[in-house]
Amino acid sequence: MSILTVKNLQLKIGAESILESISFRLDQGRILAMTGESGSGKSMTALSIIQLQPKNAKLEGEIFFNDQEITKKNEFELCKIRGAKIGMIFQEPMTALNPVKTVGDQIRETIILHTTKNKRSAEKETLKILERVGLSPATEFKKRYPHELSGGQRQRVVIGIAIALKPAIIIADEPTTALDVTTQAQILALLKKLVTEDNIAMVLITHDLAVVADMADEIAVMQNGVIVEIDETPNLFQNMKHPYTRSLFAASKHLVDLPVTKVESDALLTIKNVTCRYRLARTKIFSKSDYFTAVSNVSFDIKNGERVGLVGESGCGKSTLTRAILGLEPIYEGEINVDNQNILKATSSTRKNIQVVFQDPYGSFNPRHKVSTLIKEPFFLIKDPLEVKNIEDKIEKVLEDVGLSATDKNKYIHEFSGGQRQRIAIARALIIKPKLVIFDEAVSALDVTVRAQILDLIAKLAAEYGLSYLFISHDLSVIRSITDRCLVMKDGKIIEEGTTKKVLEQPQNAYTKTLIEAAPKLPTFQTEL
Amino acid sequence: MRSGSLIFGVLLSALVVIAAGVSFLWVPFDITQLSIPNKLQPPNEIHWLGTDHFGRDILSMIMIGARTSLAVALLAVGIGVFIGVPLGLIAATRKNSVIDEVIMRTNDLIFAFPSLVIAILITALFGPGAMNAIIAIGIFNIPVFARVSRGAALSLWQKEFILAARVSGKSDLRISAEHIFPNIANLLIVQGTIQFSLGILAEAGLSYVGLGTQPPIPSWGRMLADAQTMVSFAPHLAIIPGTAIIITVLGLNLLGDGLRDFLDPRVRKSRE
Repeated sequence: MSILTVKNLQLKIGAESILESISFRLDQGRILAMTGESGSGKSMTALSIIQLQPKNAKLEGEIFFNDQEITKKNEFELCKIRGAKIGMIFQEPMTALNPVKTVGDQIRETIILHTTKNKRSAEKETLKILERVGLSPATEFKKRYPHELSGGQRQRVVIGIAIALKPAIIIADEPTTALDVTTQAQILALLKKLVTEDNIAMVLITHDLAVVADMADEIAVMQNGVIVEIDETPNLFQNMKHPYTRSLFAASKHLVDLPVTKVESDALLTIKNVTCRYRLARTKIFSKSDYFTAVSNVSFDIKNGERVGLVGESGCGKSTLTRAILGLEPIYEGEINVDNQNILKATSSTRKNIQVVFQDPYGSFNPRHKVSTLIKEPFFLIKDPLEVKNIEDKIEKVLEDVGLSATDKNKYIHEFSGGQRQRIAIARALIIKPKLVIFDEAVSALDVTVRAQILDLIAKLAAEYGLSYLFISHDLSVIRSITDRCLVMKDGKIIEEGTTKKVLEQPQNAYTKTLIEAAPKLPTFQTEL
Repeated sequence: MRSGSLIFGVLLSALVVIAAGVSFLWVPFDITQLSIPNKLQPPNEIHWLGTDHFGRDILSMIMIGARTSLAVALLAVGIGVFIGVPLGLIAATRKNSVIDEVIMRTNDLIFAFPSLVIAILITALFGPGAMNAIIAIGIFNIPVFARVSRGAALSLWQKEFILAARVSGKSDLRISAEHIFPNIANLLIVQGTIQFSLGILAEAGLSYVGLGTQPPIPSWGRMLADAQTMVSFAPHLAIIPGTAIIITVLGLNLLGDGLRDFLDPRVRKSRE
């Protein structure tokens, strides 16, 4: 008997069908991965299993936990199952924890609430759990508040709470998406270890096929609320039956066809011994405030026509460096020159050579303006009236260049999907024909198939517009496919530099090596596409 | 459903505005004429809303009073918006700088005084009158709008579209006007209607204690004050100006809510 059996699950919100005929079973000690792109219904399936679907949703079908049908149970009975029998791990560990309680208290409370243990034995249990999830010494960590922990440590606490009551099932919804690659590898290893040790059945929800391939015993691929393919992991990868699985796999392994460009010898961007630092909050009223050095003594050049990548994990200083290059950040020491002009003193004729595309397709646009107003904003830098002529034609041209239609200029930004918005962001960056574009994690928020399209578009447009770019990313596969040269950044310093191929294939620095090893890899099955 | 509140708000507000507008051209009775024999009449076919203790027609007084209330509240909100919002936006562009501190601490100082105290101060200096009520309420509005706009602007300054605008070489002031202001407009509209209603109440309050509009110009607040002693045998004297205040405040709040949604392209689209 399987621990979890889902039979013909349907979910409707109003007239819209969200999930259709979802059926699967899960045995103890096994990991079932649900994968698919955003909106495919994978999270909704998970929520339905613990009966936390939205209030206005209509659920049909059967869900068996052991032998009990749980769709018919009332809220009181469900509360006993949730947490105690079925644990949950969420994507964002900061919001899943209570910020005003120590992590030890939070684990202990869970134990006291659901079991008959007294305070002292719950305390003992808490320490044991903290050790198990790798937070040792536990006596030290139990006194910490969530904000005193790193993202990975917080996720360990969340996992600790989930396993505290020895549940039979754990549902993990994108447990590592918010984490850095090296942390992600550790958290995945921890989850795998716990599943084996405690004989837990786990439903792992993730959009990342590479994570799935490493972890899961069985994979369900979802699209538009339907499981299009479900099979044992090796089988699924060896003979992908459904075209969507194949396209998902192809997009994850997508390699951009980088056009050959001519690199000129003169430097477009020069960064000389740049240091940026922030003043930290004073600990006492009259004490001197300390400084945090976000970027320390960084130097590199980008020549005309070069495509450079910058890799680093969160907090390594890459965002500060981006802002400094754009002239938005005070520089403590050193200087940044664009076209041989100091960026902090640059006139608009120099500044117009550098533009930027940001990560968040939702926060990058003023929601109150029409697309035409949004993408013509950089024209503010152009003082020559001849160039500002025919501005409407230019807007239409650039929209078509990025694969949208000219009539889109009259729409508002909320009418577009994430991928389309990122196209509009690229249009805004390209409309005044800059020489250098900085892509700040420009594809990180996108689904794999959309990501592949945007990367292709960037490669194509860079050749057409004669662009150089600096592509900042935490994702090695993106850097590999879209850059010629790359830099690795850690703790505000550039620790390795070279051609992308060389850095990624023969890394010299120990940190680069761990970074490359930690990145989840797709199995290299030969598939006929 | 959403647009229902807008329509209802527009209707109630229009009623008040029309009453005030018509009063310039025509009122049922001349309110400067006292007619003691007709005093304290309950609502009847000649005096639709009855008469007060001097025999003046209450409908006429309410209509002219609407004029006073609207003018005082509108000007007071205007003072708050035109001074407070720019101050808040400037403070937000220079977060934690000396300018920010000076602006916000001055605001705190004004906030610490009740508007009544300011009104008494101004009245003591310049004598009572509607204009002084406007200034007193207006000054009190400045820190409200400055705080609302600074807080909202600060979170917007973190957004990437602001960075994009900075990359386009736009100055902080221009960004404040082009990007920040339109995005906090919905908050300001809601705050504006709240302050407008509070302004009407404050004017009523100031007139009630005799610091606002002076006789013979009628004001809803003073009508309430006058009704106080007679409320047991002529309750309509208090109920009618009270209802007028309620209708205006309710109408304006509904109008503000509806306007906020109406002006947001995201909400507007989903309603279509």
